[in-house]
Amino acid sequence: MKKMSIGIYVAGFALILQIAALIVYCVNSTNGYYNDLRVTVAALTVVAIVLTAAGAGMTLKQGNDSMLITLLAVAPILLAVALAIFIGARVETIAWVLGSNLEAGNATAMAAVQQAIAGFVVYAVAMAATIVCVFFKQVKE
Amino acid sequence: MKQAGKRSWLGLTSIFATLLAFLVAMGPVAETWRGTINANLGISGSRVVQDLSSENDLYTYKSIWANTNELVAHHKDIGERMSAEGSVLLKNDGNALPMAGANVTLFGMGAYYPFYGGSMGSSAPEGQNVSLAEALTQKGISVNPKMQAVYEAMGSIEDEAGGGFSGPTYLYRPGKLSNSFGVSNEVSGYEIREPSPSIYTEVGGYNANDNGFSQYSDAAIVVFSRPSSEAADYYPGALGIKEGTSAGATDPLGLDDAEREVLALAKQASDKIVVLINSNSTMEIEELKQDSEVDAILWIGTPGNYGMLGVADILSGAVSPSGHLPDTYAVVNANSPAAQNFGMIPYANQDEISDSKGTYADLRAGWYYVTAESIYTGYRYYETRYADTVLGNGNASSAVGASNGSAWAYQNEVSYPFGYGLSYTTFEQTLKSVDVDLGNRTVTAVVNVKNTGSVAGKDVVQLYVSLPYTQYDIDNGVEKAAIQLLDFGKTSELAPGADEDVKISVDMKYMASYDSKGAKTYILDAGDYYFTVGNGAHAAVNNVLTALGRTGLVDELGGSTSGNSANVKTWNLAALDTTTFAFSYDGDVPYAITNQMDDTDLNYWNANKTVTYLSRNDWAGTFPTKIDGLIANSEMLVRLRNDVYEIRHSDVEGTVTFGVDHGAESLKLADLKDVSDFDDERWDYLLDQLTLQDAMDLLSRYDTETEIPSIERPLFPQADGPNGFNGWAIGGTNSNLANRTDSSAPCYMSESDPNAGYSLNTIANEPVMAATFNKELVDEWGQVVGNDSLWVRGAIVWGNGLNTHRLPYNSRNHEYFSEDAMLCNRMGVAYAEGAKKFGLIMAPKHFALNTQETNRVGISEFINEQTAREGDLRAFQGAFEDADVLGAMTAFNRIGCTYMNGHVGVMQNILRGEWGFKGLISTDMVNGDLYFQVRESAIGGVTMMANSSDKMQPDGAWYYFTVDNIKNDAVLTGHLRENAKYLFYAVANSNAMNGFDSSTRMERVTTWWEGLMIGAEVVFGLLTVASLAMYVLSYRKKGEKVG
Repeated sequence: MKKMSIGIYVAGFALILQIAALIVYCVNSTNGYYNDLRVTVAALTVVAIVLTAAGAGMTLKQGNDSMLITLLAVAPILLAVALAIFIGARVETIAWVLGSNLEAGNATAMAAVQQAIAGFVVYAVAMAATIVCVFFKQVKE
Repeated sequence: MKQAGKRSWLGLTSIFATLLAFLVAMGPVAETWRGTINANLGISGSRVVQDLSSENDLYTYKSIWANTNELVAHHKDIGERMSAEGSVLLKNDGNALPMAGANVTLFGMGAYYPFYGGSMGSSAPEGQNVSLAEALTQKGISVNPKMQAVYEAMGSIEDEAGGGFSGPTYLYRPGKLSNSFGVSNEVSGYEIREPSPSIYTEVGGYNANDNGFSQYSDAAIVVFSRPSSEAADYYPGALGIKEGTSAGATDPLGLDDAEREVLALAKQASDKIVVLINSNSTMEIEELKQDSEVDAILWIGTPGNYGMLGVADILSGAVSPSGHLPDTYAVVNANSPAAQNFGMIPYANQDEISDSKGTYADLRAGWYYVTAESIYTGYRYYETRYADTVLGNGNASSAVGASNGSAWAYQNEVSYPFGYGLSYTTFEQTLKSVDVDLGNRTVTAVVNVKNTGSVAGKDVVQLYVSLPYTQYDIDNGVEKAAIQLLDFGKTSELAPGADEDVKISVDMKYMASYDSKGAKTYILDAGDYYFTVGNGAHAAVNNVLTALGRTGLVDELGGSTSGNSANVKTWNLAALDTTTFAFSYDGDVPYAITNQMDDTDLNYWNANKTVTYLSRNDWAGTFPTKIDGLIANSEMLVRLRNDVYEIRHSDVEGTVTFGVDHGAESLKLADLKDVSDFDDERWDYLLDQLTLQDAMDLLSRYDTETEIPSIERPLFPQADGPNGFNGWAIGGTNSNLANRTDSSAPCYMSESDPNAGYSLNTIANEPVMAATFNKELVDEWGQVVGNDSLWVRGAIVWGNGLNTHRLPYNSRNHEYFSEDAMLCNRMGVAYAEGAKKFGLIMAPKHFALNTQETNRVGISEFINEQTAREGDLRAFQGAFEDADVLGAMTAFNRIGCTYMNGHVGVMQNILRGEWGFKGLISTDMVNGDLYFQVRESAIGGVTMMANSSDKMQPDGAWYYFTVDNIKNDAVLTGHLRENAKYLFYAVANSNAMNGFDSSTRMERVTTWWEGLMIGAEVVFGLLTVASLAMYVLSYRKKGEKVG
């Protein structure tokens, strides 16, 4: 195993965020208020996770990070598409809950929407972290 | 360093590609919400292209207003008049009112923070409200400023626990209800929130030694408020009160101790106490009625922006009150038979309802209620039971349902009866004649009204009928109210001593009874029919009882009385008539009327529970109890799971024509503008051009702002609600329309129009309109909304709320007129006819039987056919059958176990068949993808679903709704084509076509935000390519392999 540089730690952080995003999405989509788990969102996120994890594994094994940074460059694109679909599925209820008084007093609705927004944030941060990885060395030369 | 450079280019590539991917992926989302985004930005996504050489008058409908100043002035004027005629004086001891020029003190948080409209739905734009204090001041009544300061100080304190995203809430303003658009096994109690005067000093700076009482002591005006709201309910008794709040209240609609303390403080300020009731749900005010220190009670409902001016007109004496109650004020609301089955009642086997598609909550299928009270809601219960106590029938005096728990007596049960109202003058009504013409199915009454007092005023004539209750009825389960409103009229303002004949002509179909067991159609029983008039239902039934020679009557206030038999006319029918009303005549051929709702009766299903309907034949033995623990059996589960219609893939019923290319001979929708003949063959010619995909999109995507190229369909914006264009400012929409861009176009508004921000939902809520008993005034309001529509170019208003008030606990009663079906019916006709004069589609809602908000999406309402037809359906019938409205919005609820929109018996056979309705039908907001099913909606005749997301994806709830999957189902596609015809017919005959002729084209325009998105996509695309190129080049320079 080669000496790890800061980039690999950031990649690990990004990987954790990607997994967190997936978990938040799955929980939010099956929490009772929403029941609309979309395979596309989950699949795109899983592929991003696999790309990141595989790249990191190969980097650590081979000591060459060119594969990792290439895969890391692709992963946020997948996450972006997943996030857009996720947002598209939540726009209507967010408008109800936050933009009107249609759900005023409905704690379940408010919690579900807040959870969805938290999910957007986690996706966005995961995307940003993954992109940031590309700018860092993964292993010490 | 070199590696860092390469990483940088790749990193930049990743950033730009990610942003590009995000924008591209958001494209469909933005397209889905395009109409909403544009509406909120005040822009339009399309424009009308007009052949300027056209010589046609493009504008069928023209506004009566020359400019927006006239529009605003008319709103203010009718807003004031509506409440002046629609506020109801219930008590006026010692002529406490009027009080011109008085100095008064206002008490209660409701005095300064009343509900002007619904908290949600039919609300009043806050910035336009004229407050009670302002209105009184304008009308010459001075208001105590010191107490005003106290209340305003308390009213400005925010509730730190509330608010959040929806904005601040206030700790001491009248409590609001808890809303939910979801479904739940929980209910929320209501907190009245009136602060006790004991905290006035600490919180509001009240000083008992400097409170202004002595200077403003002519009267103390106390306001008690209860909110109205969509998506919320009150609940009977203690269940309805939020735990730990509202001490001393036994019901959310009763007073609590804090309110009593406010009243006590008011009594310190003045010897004259005037109470205003600011609520659309009838409150329990018997204690105010009985309180000799309370001199006057005025019900004001929720008065809209300008209604307080009308209230002030009454208080000052500028106007003599002429309103009459649209609902019965019961002593204890929870004692009514309907209240026994209301609210949150779960199926006992909720989990069994769940299936592989979703849970019972996803299916919106977990709850129900049974209208075991039969026809006996509101006054039909109280006055019928009263009549039977007098007549000695049906154990009416038994303890069941009695407030005192011993024997039922009218004076213990009703505070103020339906139709009751006082005036500053007195009137004498003489029923001069009643002409019953069975051949022409009409009853015509002439009533002379004379002002016998000393003040000018208007009077209401209420025509009632008492039908015979026969052995046939008992044998066949037909119920008859002892008295029922047939129709009404209102005089002009009569000077003292003046008189006027009021003529009322009513279709006898509205006095026929529905017999679902024997004749299976409408009937008139053999026997004597008694027609009478009176100041409310109680006075009317007393007249009839007196004509029958009965004594021992009590009046509206509980005192001994006798009726006026001279005001009773009798008509006799020799034999049971089962044929005259067995057909409707709204189409080309008579349409047979027979049972359509057998399956909405709980007893149809052979479930573990049955219902015994309340019968006047045995009040004690049939008085409802709560029917809970119902288990949905296998047959019920099929309906509850919303999976009824099976799409056919090899149809044997022929094919349906779509997508014909007529080439140069093609028609546009504008070619059928104002074609009122539904059978004109050009409709079919036009429909032939429609593609199946277009027909499917019309139903499933609900975008009234989407062009349909095959027929050049225009946009036709729509709005809620019963108090006008809800939330629409005059200048807020459709900036690309002709009346925004062409100064010569009718209803032209420049961008700098000073009234551009004026909101149009200004009028009092429907119960106040109903209380006017003035059809002409409601027609006039309909005309105002019709004119509004020409200025804002909105063609549909979901505005005619016609459900009946089954109970005061339905907090959405503010969007419906009354407990009485005929008051709803006649006001619904007036409202629609007024609007229709200006081409507005005034669409009644929520069709039908939507009588509670709790779990309203999908709740099963079990009801027998007589109750439905003589209740909610009769309330709607006039608008469709007599006013020929061109639109309708359906209800959220089920009827029986069946999705409302898919109930063919009601939707197709009654609405379209019996009533001849040819207009468009929209669902309410699609809330619950697995409940609102598109295929069942199509079969039911729905023309557009309030759907705003794509449910036709392979993993969506409407996955089956694709051209390939349904194209061979001639029944389904046939309905889609037929539904499109109804939609086009309505639009073509509305003001949506104003400004159109056959040369008109619709063009989509790229809005600024769409341009921004496209521009960003281009920029990010270019940057992605450039970064990627630099990344590749950075390798090639070194001869490395990109990897």
